[in-house]
Amino acid sequence: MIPKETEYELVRSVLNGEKERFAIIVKEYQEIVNNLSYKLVGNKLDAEEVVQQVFVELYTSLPRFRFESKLSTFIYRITFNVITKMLGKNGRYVSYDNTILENRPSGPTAEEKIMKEEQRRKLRQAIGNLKYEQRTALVLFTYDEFTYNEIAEVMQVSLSKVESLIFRAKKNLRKMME
Amino acid sequence: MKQDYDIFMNEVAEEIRTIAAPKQVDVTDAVMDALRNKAVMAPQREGFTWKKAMVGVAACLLIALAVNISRFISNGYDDAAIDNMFAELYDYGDQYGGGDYGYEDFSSMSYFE
Repeated sequence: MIPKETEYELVRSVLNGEKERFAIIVKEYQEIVNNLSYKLVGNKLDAEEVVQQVFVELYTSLPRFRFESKLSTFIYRITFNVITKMLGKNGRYVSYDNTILENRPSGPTAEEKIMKEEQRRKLRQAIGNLKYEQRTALVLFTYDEFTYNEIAEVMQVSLSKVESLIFRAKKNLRKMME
Repeated sequence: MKQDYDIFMNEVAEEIRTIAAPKQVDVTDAVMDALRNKAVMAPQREGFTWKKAMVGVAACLLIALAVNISRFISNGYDDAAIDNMFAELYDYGDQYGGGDYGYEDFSSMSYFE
């Protein structure tokens, strides 16, 4: 990860006309944006499209970047906005590619392994069935380990809304897994 | 119960972590090409432009026109008010050398029948 001061220098140099230095920012963050996008849109083609759009949007939005916050938060916010435009505010349910489940030891017996894998598929489907905003808040909280304040900044909502989204996401997941 | 809940949430967190994009991407060249080909200008803060100023002036004029039209209509087609308005225009024309604009006697005319 690029140190914060170096990030700021990079942004300033791009704003001063050194356009080619923007490639460094793209290389640094593209994988993170790709993974987040895939978790939210559910398929690799859309995720790749999102990644490209995010960085083009980032370039034109750089004048709005406030140097007090982290560049990563700014990038996440743009990612959220690009995906919201793609899916619509209410989002659509996503269906993850279940064949890409990692091989993890999931039980000593074959039967237990099958049950465990079935449980995982069901859970993955439940995550994909969450409403877009709930899924986003939950992903940012669990995967990216964002604080509630950071999530509020990314999603441009209030802190209480973030708490509500995560609470409802967890509740709905429990309900779907019963 | 809480323990079950915690176990469940750990499973959720673990599953979310494993939902990874199937392959790594490298969009650097595509993005930089897009920025070059679109001839996107170096990002700069937006400021005053003549286009924005003209749009603003046009908007103000349209609003003023709309307000006047609505007042005109809501006054109930008062012929006397119309006569006064044109009379003032007529006087204005005389005063500033506009001469005879050929205005007729509007009180005998009814525009909005």
